[in-house]
Amino acid sequence: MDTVSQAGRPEQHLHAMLTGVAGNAIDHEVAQRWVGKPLLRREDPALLTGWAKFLADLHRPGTCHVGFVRSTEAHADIVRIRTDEARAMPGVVAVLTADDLGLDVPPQPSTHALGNRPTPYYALARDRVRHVGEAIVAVVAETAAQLADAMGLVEIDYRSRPTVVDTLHAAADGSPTLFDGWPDNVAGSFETAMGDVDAAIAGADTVVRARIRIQRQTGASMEGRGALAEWDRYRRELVLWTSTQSPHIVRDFIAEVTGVPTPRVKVRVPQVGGGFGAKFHFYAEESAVALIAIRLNRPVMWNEGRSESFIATVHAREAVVDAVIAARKDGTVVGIAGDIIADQGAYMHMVSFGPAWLTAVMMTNTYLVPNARATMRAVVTNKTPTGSYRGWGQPEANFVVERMMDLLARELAMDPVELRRRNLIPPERMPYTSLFHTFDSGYYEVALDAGLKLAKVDEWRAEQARRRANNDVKQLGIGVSFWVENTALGPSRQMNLGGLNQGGYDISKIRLEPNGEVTVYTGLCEMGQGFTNGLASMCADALGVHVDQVVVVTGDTDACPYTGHGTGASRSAAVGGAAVRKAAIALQARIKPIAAHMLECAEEDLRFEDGTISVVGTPTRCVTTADIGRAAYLRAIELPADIDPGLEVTETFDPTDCAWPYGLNVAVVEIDTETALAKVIDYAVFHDCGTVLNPMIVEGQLHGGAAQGIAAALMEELLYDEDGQPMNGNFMGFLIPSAMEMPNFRLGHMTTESPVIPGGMKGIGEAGIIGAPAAVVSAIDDALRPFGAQPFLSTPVTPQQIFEAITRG
Amino acid sequence: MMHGLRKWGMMTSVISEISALVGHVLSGGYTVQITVNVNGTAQTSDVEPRQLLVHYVRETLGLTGTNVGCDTSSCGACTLHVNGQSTKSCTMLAVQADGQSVTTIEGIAKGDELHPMQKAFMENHGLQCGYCTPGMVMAAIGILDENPKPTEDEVRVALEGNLCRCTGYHNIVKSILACANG
Repeated sequence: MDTVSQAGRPEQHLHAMLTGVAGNAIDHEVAQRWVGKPLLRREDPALLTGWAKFLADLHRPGTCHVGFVRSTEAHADIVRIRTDEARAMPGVVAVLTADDLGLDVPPQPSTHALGNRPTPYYALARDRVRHVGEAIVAVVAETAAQLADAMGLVEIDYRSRPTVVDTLHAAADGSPTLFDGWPDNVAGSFETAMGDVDAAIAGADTVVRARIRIQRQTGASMEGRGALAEWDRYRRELVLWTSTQSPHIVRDFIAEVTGVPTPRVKVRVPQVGGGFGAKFHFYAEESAVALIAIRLNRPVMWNEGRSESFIATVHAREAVVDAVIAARKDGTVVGIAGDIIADQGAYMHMVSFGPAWLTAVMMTNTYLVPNARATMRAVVTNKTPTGSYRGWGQPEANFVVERMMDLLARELAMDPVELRRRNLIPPERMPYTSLFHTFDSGYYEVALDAGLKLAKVDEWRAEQARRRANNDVKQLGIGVSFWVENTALGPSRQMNLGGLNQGGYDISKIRLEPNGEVTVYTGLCEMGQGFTNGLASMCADALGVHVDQVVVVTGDTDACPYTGHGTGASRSAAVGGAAVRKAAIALQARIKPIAAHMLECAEEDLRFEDGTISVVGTPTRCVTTADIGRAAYLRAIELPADIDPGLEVTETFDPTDCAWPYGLNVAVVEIDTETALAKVIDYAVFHDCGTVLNPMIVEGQLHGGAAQGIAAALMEELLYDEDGQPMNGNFMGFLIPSAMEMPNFRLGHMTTESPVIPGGMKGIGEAGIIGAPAAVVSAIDDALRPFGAQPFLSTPVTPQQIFEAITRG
Repeated sequence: MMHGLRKWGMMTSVISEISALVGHVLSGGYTVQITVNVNGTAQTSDVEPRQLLVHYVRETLGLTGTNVGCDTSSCGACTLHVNGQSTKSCTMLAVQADGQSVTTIEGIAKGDELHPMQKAFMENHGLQCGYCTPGMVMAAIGILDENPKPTEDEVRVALEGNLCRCTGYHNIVKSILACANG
């Protein structure tokens, strides 16, 4: 089947308008000339020719290489460290332990103060390790080869402690504890409710209960992490190049850990080879590299290896959820409850149990459920800490709720699509407040119908029936999931109330340069999505210049304004875009009196287009932004007398609320009943993400997210044995999908502007992944129904499980 | 011993120790002179016999467009051409390239004019973070060299050795097909 990509196509807008519910994306204040166009990305030529410089490509004179000797024990006391042999190796500059870094170094800081018990961990481990991969010793050598030679010669003696590996074991009474003085392994807990869920369950016609497990996963960006620190002992300044999504958080935390005053810490971000949330975190290695550079007075660089990444970079997702759904006979859901046990790994990493909190408050998904309750217990285990990965708790919630909807549909013998239709939040209830958040807008049923049409569900159902009738070896299943995504994070005060010591605002600085070109500075940070292209389009439209006049600068804490957050939480297009829009409008307001003065007209009569400012009705009476820039910086004599030289504005945008894109996923899965292999052969996403800055980039985000979600359903799981030893920590064991396992994607798009974001944008970065596991597993269930197979309640669904389901009958 | 072998790091530590022993003997001033034609220019260098081709290209020649994405020869980020054949440069020693002809990602554009495959990737949004891209583009050129008009399935199967985490492959496949039909 052909790929149908409909993002931005007029007929989709027409479709939406014909239904009378969703309009075309029109920014009523800013004319759209560049916004919405699939402009090619500016960064691509450098990336395609190998010119772009990733962290490992940087070269500073005199740089030596750092490597970390990591714990091979899951839980142990460090008895003795022998470094003599390593020190004696050629090219070795230093071998350092926590003692050498100094015991006055504070524990790793955190942005999320969620009322949990403290779980301190340090740049290098002291006395005790709690997971395989915890860094204990840093070896520094002149070359990478000499470093590799020396690292294996560091010897560490351990005294083993009992390990806690399984999530439920960690939560059980009498389990060994990871932290002295704790009665159990519960690092934090949370509960939220609306209505009376117990009464709703007691009075319901049908109640379905299930225990659902979501496996341990990780972002696995193709570029690992890395950092290069350079200490200027005379100026007492530290420059840290690091592969991160959040340069200002890194800067503040490096200052805290090293004691170097904040203005003297300069974080610079080279080309980033993917992040997916894992690089939102501040890591022990960043602290260690900075501290080592200061101790040695040498630039030092660390490049994470792939196998190292699997034990040193945050994992995510792992949770067990006991869920209940209650409904009337007609399919009206009256209550949902979920008890979540979330596996934090060995320490509460930077975002603490934030993702599990989001799982809890998203426990009603897109449905009008009057009674709901979610409880969450965050437990520590002897595994790598968990944290951020694209979706941040939402894929877990979506999987639970959408699975429960499927189970309920089965119980009621209803069509799963119709069950969803009956319970979707209707547009007249928007804005709708669920367990915590308020959904800003949405025409869910329109998207549901458009999605079914886009996916050609009727045709697939006919094909499925044909194959079933023929007893075809390859059987088909069709699964759907409806999703909503928390984007444009977020309202700073709301975030503080939720326990976060960080903001959700963005600050944008825009300067009209003396030659008439425009520089946008943002604290957001590219990790490869290309959102800076969208920001350039937004700036060009709001300022009235040609998009090629605009340059966007990111990733430098000296040059760029402070941001409360960095890039993540699908906020760059929405919050960043609105901040750029606000600053560009303000800058245009500063340009107007200058242009009116030069053209001897009223400000109201000025027309801005592609950098030319003309008098309405007399296009030949015009000046360019170059004329304005020259006057503003070099020839103040041409300015009105009351206007000071310079044209630079800084504006802050702090959203009043989050923006919520939504949509329907339809997965068609083919199962080879002889090999038990499941393959997604068709996959459709119909979505609404508000105003689209660049449809090409939106489509790319959906493709990538969907691929990761399909992989979560079928392939990816980080495995540990009972001793806490990782069993598949490299690309030979942890299988991320190749082109062979992925389908073509069909995308369809409609636009409902977000009422809470000026410009109307909603985020899209995590949308593709959220509903994907539920749709794929639903399709597998559907395919195996004739075999009498029970629904799958955990991910990934492996060929082994499918084989057993088929043969058990 | 059985318990020990199951432990994380055991293998890497064994490899490091062997490497240290070998390195001690071989790196003590012991180098081999090789001459490799790289992107059309003969390059003569003294290299350690244990140096991988990818490290020779990146560190000795400073051609950092070729990336390293794994340590198990799984990801293909380091793919370049040796005598016109797509090769994962982590699977060869630099000394094995002596007398051979190597083309890296830096060697395929003509000045400012991108190679048709580079152009196809740009026009079809076949890249996001760009880290797998140099290897992906070199592999893609190799695919079309062997099969100038592949089907979509043939492209997907031939790309199996190159991993991308951003694109879901949709636009990579589209780019390669566009280049083939362009």
